[in-house]
Amino acid sequence: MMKLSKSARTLCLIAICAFTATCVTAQNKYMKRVSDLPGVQYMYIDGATLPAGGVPGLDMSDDNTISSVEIINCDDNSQSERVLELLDPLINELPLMTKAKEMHVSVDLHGEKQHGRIKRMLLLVTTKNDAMQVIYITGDIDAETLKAIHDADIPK
Amino acid sequence: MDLSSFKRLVLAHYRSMYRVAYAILRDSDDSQDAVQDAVTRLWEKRHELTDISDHEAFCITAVKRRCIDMLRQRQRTMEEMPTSLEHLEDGTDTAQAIESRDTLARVNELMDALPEQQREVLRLRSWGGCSVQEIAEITGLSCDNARKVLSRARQKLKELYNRKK
Amino acid sequence: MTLQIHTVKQLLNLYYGGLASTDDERRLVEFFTTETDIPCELQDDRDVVLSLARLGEVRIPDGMADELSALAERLDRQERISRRGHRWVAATSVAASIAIIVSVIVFIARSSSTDPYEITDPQLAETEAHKALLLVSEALDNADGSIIEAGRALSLFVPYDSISNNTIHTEDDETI
Repeated sequence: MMKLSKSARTLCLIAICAFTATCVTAQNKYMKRVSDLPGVQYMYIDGATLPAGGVPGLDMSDDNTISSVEIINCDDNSQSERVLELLDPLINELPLMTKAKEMHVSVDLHGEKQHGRIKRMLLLVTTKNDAMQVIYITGDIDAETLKAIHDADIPK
Repeated sequence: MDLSSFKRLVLAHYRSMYRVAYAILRDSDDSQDAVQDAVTRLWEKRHELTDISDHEAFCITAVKRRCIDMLRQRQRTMEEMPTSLEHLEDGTDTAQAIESRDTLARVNELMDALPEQQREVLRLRSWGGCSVQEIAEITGLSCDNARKVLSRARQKLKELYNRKK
Repeated sequence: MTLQIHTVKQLLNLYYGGLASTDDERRLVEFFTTETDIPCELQDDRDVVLSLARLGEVRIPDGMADELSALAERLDRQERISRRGHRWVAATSVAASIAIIVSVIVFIARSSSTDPYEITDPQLAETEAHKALLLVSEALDNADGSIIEAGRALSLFVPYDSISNNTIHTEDDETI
């Protein structure tokens, strides 16, 4: 077996790290593909853009972090099926946490939870006329704290 | 230079190389090591050999250099020259030219009678084909002294040989 | 005679003076070896010169030629393997260098280009992120509510305390 000299090994290691760094982006590749569809609105929010204190109901100085928020709005019902098709790999990656259907709205929540903390979440909201909203959040958020955001917002 | 040319131009002279090594080192194993080391060195420098006209001389110089290095590394012990003649090769031209082994034995015996330094210089020159400069390097003598010792050794040997007849 | 006698005597003078070159000595040995009719005055010289030359003709150890041949072949083989290895190292180094350069270029290009979809206004980012989190939070909250309701519904059929570890134990102690 060929032995690489020390300098060649170092060079290869640097190359691998540099190449990996360029491949890693904050945007999810599946969400990015959906954003390229016509009739789709896409928003990307980097966690660093958010105020240091966090958002109302979620104090980020308290060991909760948001890495990214990606939002897709699709009013064109001809694209809904395509959206789901493109998101299928991501949907399959994340276990289904909850699925609810009411009269006009269907809500699917997929998420990755570890020790009471949520790492990734994918929310799919489909309305009767097939308009769709997709929210994908990455970070490290306490599940109870996240639930409490909704409670805090309900007028007392 | 490819492998087959190397074998033809360098390894063909292994006998001369061994004889020279033996003349200097006085030990068969060491002499073989010296020849192998010299061959390895010559292999590394084989691209220079294409410009050489006298490959045998080049190979012998290489083995001499190696022997001198080995002598420097190990403690030089002044070994006695073998009094028997069994280590000699048969069937050479000089073997046939000397009429009897008695002559050879006599000269061999007379060499034992010479002072150690003269014996060594004589051996290095006659057996190893070492130049005066190489003898000086091996023995630690100056070039001039090495030449004088060689001269005295030969003259003494002839004188003793004449006396013994 | 291959050499004139006076030439031989000259060579012998050099020989005994320690001044003869190795080539001169070789000529003397050759003369004394090949010449059959040596003058009496030179016979002692012949014996001395040839004996000294003869004593150096040591026996070559058996198998030395084969050993040296094997050594040369081994050196050749090692060199070829090493050359192959060096080519790989050189190619790997070149590839690695190119990868580094390409990565740096791509990284700079990506850093300098602005994503048209990215919200950079912190105020807007906060508002939109809050809206998104609310939706997610509501969904999570509803999920919890559903689990509690499901538990209550099940408890109508089986005692609540027998619902444990995702199994239901019947009154007859069977496990569902």
